[in-house]
Amino acid sequence: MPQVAQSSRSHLVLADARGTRLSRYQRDWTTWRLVVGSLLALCLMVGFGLVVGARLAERQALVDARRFTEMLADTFVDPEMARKLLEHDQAARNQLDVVVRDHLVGNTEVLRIKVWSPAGEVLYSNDLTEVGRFYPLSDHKRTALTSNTAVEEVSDLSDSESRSERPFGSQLIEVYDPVPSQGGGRILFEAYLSYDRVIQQREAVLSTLVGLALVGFVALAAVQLAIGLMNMRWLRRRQRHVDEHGRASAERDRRLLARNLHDGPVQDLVGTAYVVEGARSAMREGNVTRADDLLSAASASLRESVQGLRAGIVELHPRSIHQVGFAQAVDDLAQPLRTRGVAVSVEILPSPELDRDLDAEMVEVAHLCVKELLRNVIRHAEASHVDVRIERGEESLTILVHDDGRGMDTTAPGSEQGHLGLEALADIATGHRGAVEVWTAPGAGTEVRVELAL
Amino acid sequence: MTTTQSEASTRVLLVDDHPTVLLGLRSLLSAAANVDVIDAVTSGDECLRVLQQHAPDVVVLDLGMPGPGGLETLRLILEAAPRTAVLVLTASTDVRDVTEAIALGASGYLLKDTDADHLVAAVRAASRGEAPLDPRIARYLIRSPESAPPKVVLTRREHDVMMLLREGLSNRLIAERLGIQEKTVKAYLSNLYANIGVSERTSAAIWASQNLDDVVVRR
Repeated sequence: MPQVAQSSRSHLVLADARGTRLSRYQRDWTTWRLVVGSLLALCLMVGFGLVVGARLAERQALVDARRFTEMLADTFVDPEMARKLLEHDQAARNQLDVVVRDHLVGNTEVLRIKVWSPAGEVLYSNDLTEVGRFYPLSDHKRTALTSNTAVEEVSDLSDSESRSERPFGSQLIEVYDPVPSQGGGRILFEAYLSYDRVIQQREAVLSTLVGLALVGFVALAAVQLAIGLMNMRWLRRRQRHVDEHGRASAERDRRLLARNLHDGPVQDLVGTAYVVEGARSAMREGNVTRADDLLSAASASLRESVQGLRAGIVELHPRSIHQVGFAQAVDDLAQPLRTRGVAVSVEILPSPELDRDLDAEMVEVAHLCVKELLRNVIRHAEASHVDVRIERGEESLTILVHDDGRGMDTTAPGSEQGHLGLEALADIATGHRGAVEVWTAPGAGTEVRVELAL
Repeated sequence: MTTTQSEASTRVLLVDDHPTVLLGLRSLLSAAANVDVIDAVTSGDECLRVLQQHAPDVVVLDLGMPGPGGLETLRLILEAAPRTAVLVLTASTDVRDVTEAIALGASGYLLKDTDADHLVAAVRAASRGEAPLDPRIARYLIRSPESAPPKVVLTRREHDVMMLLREGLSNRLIAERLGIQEKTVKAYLSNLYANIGVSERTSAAIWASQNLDDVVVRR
């Protein structure tokens, strides 16, 4: 090995599967993708449900708190009481204090009740140290007073006025309910309620939701997954069928091609070789006329071989029709019949250059139809004359193949479509919104008409 | 003198469905000394008719013909005129054709790409009662004595189809059993017929009942 080249030559690895395990099917992740995808979707649904559920629970708890507070205010602070509190009436304050201390705090979630004057004075609080103090009214309080509707909020107790409520926890529900005072004006009834209400409500919603998720979502996901897996299995099975059919059909086509080459060009060439040998003998004998006749026959036979080979090429590579030309390609198809001594006439209407303004695919399909039809004639008809007519109409292309062969008995058992050898044609015609029609009788030849929509 | 010449001249009948091959053979053999081509026909039926009229010494017979095939024609020729030498001239190297042709009593077996001189020599040899064999064919026969043709190789699926065919199932039922489409079954059968050398269902079923246990199953 030349050492000099070692340093300059490059090294490429195009494949290296040494030591890998060969499996019939590549590892299939589709199933796992489906399962993981379903679980992920389930998690997303549950997660989203939880967030929305928590929001709804809080919302509901606040609404409940507002109603409860409105009910308290209506019950314990009527307009007369409101007026008295505004007037700093000690008896009224004590009366309210008894109710709050004995019935509300400890027995309900009410932690603190305050009554505010519109000026920001604490008219009553069950924390008596707050009574008489002034605080600037917060936005919520002002809103409640001006709009004359109850307002609720979740408070983090950062306001100075809430200093004395901080021991109750980090979060409380505050509800402000305006109460009209006898003789004009309003006071503001404020209740601090335990945040537990929200937590309880949220838990209730969540437990319902989790139950729902477990039963409903899991069932839904399971059904989806089952359907998905079923579809996938069906698709795989179908794919296998298609593959298998493709392989079997391809083998059949190759076999027929091989037979056509064998029966056509190979026989032609064998015969031609003998004819040329005969011509040589004639030359040696000095019989120039005979030699000339034989060589002319040999050249005719070689031309036939070319036709046969060209048909083989078109069969291997249908696009080459467009190079050969439709009329020529169709004529080549007749070659196997002609070598068997069958007279074949081909007529292409309105002109042999039919393929000029025809879609390329349509040209290939038409060629395929003629091929199938003539193949059928070769296999079954035992004909001596075959007429092929291809006609382009306004909206359709018609292919007519008529032979004078032995015909078929379509009433005989086992002569349904498949046995007539026209199944492939029927598929093609169906795919092109066309039709296949057959006229035949035993001993009366066969006529097949294929129509394809343009 | 005339008697001697007619004794020395070999009367040949050519049978081949391919017109060019017939023309070539005819021109080639006609030019050979002491060979007389009495007729060239394109089918087994015609061959038998000519045989009655002209009693050729040698029939050069193609195997792959439509209608009654070459092997059947061979049998009928020897039945009608047992002294005729039949020289099979074919493109088939299928060992089954070779063994069957020889078993039926063919005098010789040549392949179609045999060169002209050998072909003429073989016709003469056959007329002398010799048995000209293409060397490539002879090698087959030596390699597999006592008609032990190479085993048929089927794919797993083809084997399954054959098993069910042997049981007498229709295409539809075979398709159902194997979980494939009916047209796939048809394509398989078409390939199988070609593989085992039969042309229709009944023969295939008979073949299967006799040979299916001996086939080689691939994969």
